[in-house]
Amino acid sequence: MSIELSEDIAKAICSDKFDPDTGEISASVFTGAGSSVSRLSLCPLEDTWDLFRQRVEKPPARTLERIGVINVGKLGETGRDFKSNPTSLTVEAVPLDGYPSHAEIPQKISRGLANEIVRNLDLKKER
Amino acid sequence: MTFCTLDSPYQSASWLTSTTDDATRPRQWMATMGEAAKERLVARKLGANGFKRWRYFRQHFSGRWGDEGQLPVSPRSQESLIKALGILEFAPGTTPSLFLTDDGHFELAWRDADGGSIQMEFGPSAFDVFVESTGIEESHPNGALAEVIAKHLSTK
Repeated sequence: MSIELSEDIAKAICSDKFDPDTGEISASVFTGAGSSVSRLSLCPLEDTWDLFRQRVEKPPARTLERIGVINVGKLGETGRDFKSNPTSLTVEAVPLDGYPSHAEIPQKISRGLANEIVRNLDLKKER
Repeated sequence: MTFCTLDSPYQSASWLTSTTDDATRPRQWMATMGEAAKERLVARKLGANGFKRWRYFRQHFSGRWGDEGQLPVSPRSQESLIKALGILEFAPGTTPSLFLTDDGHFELAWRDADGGSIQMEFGPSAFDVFVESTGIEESHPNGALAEVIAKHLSTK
């Protein structure tokens, strides 16, 4: 089930994909098909920090550095406006046990498009 | 940060300012270079931050990692990265970032003089190159590294 364009989604950005010295984010956070995200309508941002810590952090190797937030409508617009390969992007609800807000972007995302999505993220840093 | 807990990741500051030009050495030397030579090359080309991250990935990502059983660092990806670093010449002031993909591939990202993004992902048998300013997004066999760098990245 595609989720509504008005929803916001959150993407975990961990230490393997984020360079704190340069602020660069790897495009590979979004490349490929089936990129996992969490729906903020079901799990608000303040709780998403704990959710991602439980699910994606594996200290000391992998730490959660930022959460990238983007509106689903804006994501779709970014895909459509990608000049070299316009891509229809949707977000599908894929609830998991203990993780009901889980969703996926099923379409295959190229590196160029992933860079555009990264550029449009609203980056959150935990206070 | 996690990788700040490494023991003296860059012990010799002279590595960062070495004038040794590995790119001029025979290709065979690149294939057989020892660990210390690789460390010197990474430190000189990527600077302290990149060297620190390279060590961080090698130390903490040698087995399955992450929430989806992401793949460990690929030795062949690392060899491809080392080979590329022996050829790449970054403009002064460039600060490359090093990442690890979920497939265990090293990924290098830096900015050109106009702020455009340049990215290379090193797979075991092929590499991807992305140059924002020219719209290039290509995949090539690792055997074409020198040729592709000369063609697309020689002035970046």
